[in-house]
Amino acid sequence: MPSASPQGGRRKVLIILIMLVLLACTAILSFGLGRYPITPAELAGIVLSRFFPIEQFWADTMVNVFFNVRLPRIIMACLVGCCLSAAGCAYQGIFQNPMASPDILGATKGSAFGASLAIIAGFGAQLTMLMAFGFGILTVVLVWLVSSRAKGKRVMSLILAGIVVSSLFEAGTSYIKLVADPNEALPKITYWLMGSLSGTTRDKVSFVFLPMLIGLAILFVLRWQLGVLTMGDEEARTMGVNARVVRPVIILASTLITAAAVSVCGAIGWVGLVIPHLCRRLVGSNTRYLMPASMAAGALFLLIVDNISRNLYATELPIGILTAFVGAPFFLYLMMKGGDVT
Amino acid sequence: MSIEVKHLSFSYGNRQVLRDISFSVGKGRLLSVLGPNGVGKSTLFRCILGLLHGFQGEITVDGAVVSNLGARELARKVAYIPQSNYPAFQYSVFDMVLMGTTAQSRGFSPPGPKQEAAARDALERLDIGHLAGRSYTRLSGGERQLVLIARALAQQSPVLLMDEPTANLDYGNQIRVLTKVRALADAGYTIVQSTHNPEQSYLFSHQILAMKDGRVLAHGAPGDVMNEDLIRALYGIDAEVVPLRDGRMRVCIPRDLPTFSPCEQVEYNPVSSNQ
Repeated sequence: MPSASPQGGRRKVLIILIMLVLLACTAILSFGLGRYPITPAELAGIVLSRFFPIEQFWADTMVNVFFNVRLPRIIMACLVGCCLSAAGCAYQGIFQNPMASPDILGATKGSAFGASLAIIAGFGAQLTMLMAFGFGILTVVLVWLVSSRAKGKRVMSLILAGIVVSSLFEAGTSYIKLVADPNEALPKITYWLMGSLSGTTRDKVSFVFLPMLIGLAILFVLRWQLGVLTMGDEEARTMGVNARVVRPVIILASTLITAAAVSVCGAIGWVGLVIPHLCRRLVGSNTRYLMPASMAAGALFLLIVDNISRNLYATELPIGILTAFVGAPFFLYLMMKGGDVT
Repeated sequence: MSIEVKHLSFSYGNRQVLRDISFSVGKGRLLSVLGPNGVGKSTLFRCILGLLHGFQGEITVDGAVVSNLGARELARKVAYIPQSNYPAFQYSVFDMVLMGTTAQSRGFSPPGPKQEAAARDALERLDIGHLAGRSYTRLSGGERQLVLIARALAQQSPVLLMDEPTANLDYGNQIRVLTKVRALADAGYTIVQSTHNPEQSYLFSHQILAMKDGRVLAHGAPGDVMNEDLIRALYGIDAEVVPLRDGRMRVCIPRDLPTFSPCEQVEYNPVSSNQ
């Protein structure tokens, strides 16, 4: 949807602002959803009572629900959605491939292997998370090292190395599932692989908060350079953007946020592919606007889907299943409506 | 001198592509590089653009040694105009041209009003301001080539390198693009273009650099260089080079063509639709 700046630019900024307002409204409403609903008035009371002397008109359990259950969960849903979508946007840019998603370099498959390993070893939730995070990063480092030794085009060898290393780790995960105790470990692994935000704690939020913030900040700052990189390495360099420096930094930042997201909530698919595409329809392909739009829309999308996943049935529906159910048909709709996916 | 290349040699592994190339181009001059396919024209360009390292010799652009410059500093001296391509994503013409200003912005910040003004100027300069809001991928080949030239102008570098700017263009667009290119040189830009058309290089450029087997075969004014010997040496074609319009143009006419069978008479009968 091309348009000449600055008028077009202002319109795009406005769209992003509307997304942020929607996100804020959805977040406030989300507090009211669940077994112990928190009304907007109670919400305001609980928050403001931290700073002003306000007489308590809410039940004590509400404070507990707010700080230990609902708030971490809402923050996590927003962060994970934001990260997966931003990483998808970044990978689509550097690989000049509209079909790239956050797991293109194997971060997701690596994390899944790390988590499965931790689960059959009987590690606790903390250690499982750390293992998933570590293996996610390790996998991408491995892919990078393999591809840097390969001959031929850099981008192509990265994607190929990503496919190969991913499938190695996937085979490893399958093997672990095969030998895992079918009563104890196997259901846990299967559930982890479906992706879920249940069991989000304040600890988990504080563990991923910093890496996510750093990664997102880097992607936001480099969003213009990312757009120039989509012209190809050599053209980008002649315009003053050194791909050999900028690309690894963007990959590093994307890997950081993908691994962090996957480590706390398992493999949640489709967000990183669908949301940047949707945003491309709204603000165009220029990553200057596409990156912040993807971040905002990703957070909004996952927050809405998470509300559905925890309220649709009495027992929670893994969010990974829902994102696929929502994401795949939506992607088909985008394909058929516009024809041109890029 | 805007570009000075001294004793440049380059090898891909064991295969030597450039052998002791030396030439210079002054400010406001248009140099056409002629040579058969695979002679090393692109390699020469990539050396000047800082995309290839490990060459012997020295390349100076606008007073600075290329190998000492970072990507951004070099981009402020040389802008590159690739053959018109299809990017992976749809960009508006304006966004495309705005990318050229990247080297002018501070730090990593996206372009501001100053850069946007430069982009608009560049479009106006090539009389394609009306394309600003269009999608780059939906333009014709000639328009895309002009947009890429506008992007290079927005880069505000004194030297422009063009990789076969008229490849894939129809005859009309070739002439239109080359006329604009020559006008830019006359306005003070130093331009180096590679081309496969000796007649056009004679018509439009100030200088010709002819390359064969990675060496400089001839370098000089078109009138001194573009003759039958050059065509034979470069392309292995025996052709008569005929001056026209008081020597303003030279046309190559191949000799020794086999006698073709006589042309058929074709009668064109448009079929009317209501039959």
